[in-house]
Amino acid sequence: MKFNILLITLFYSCISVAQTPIDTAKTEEEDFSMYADVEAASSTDKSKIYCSQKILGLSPSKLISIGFDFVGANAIDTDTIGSYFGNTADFNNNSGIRFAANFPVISNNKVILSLGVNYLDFKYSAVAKENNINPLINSLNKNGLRSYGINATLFKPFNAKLFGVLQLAADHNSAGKLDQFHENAIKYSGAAIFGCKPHDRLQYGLGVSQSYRGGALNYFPIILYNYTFKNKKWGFEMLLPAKANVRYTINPRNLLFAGFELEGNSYYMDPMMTNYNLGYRNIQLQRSEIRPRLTYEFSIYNFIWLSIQAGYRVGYKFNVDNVDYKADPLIMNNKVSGSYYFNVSLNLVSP
Amino acid sequence: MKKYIYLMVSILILTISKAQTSEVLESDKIVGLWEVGSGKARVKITKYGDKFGGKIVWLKEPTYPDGTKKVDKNNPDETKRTIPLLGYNNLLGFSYKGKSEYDGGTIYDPENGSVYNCNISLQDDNTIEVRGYIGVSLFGRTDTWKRVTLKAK
Repeated sequence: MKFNILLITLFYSCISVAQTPIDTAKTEEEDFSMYADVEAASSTDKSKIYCSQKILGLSPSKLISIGFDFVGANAIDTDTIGSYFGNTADFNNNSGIRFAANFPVISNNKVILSLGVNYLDFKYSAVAKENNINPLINSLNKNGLRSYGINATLFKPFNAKLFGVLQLAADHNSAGKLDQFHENAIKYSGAAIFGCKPHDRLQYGLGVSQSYRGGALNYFPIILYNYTFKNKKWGFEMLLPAKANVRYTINPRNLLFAGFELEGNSYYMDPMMTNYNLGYRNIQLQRSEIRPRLTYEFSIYNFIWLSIQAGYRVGYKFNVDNVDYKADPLIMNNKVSGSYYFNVSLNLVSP
Repeated sequence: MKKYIYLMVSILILTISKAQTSEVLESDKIVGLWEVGSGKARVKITKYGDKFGGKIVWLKEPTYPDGTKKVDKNNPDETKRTIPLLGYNNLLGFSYKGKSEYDGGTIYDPENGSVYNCNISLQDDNTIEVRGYIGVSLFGRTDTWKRVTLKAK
């Protein structure tokens, strides 16, 4: 009797384990057509489908990027400022380090929120340093330009086709040293886009932007347009007027681009005011340039990509303005010559 | 006294057995048919040994415009570029870690031929969150999958 109890117990235990519904992987061929006709497991499940942030074939976004930018020989024809006459300064080159990181702190079907940091340190190397007494040239030569900031990007899909993008950024742009913080150097920019993704190869949107890409603070409409052709070899990646590229996909890990970028910012020129008796309290260098270029991006190991870019830098604006008196004419109306440039960066790209 | 001992042993065996069974059942809740967030693919998750994995069993667009079946043409390994996507084992090596969490696995993205680290979290019986990431979980993206069942014929 006692043994019987034990045997029954063991038997029951074996049965209960054996009944555990384990569906092991099968190697035999399966009829996949049966999976076409399904229904939601939960009758109360009203799950909504949301469009994703990307389209097929779109170049991967960069999570971490560290790069080197080099602009070849060029000249700046400076205006007179105060008692300092303008002159032409030749530069051997301008070069700098660029660093950017973006962390997707929230990333799911319903919302993607990325927080980022960026740093740019640009040096100017004048040919005849001792002959240049112009405050702008001296400041650039000794201090260069420096920019660092934070940004946040929110991607919010509303349904399977419609989405919104909100981007906010705060940057500290100046000719001062890294530890020289000044409120006049802080610049806020932002953009809002309402877009549509009709299918997996197209997304477009329309929005507004507050930006310093043109050198000074500007408000302008922006157009987002990303498209991949059916053959998935060619495509467009555009955020006008900031940048536009034609993309050629050699394969998903080797991409070629031809396009341009409008790049610029406004820099608080504290060394000019500190070192020279100019009588201004808030003068800003308004730098803006257009960069037509060719870019080759490829994976060197899994998600580590190298980007090589070469093109021509067209100096669009390099003026100095007293922003406390916006109605007044520019303090310096300078001209920058064009020059070739290249950029190489190492990137950790997004899934 | 002996009768009492037999009874206690039996109860102990039953208790252990039920506990193990319930743990197995808990971990196996992930097994089944799931539809990805975009609604463009369905993945069947199964158990093999003590691990869990999944394969693509349905694609909204299973063929190329010329009518041929989609294959893993973006795989960095050239020898695998002719493998059909339908039936492809895209989830591999997940272990149940308790509290409805599965980790240690990988997910394969046929769109770019990349393999990502992956964690799966069972939100409720019919919802899982699949997070693919690079290195650390911060660099990743979560997709919500919903359970579907075959319609009764």
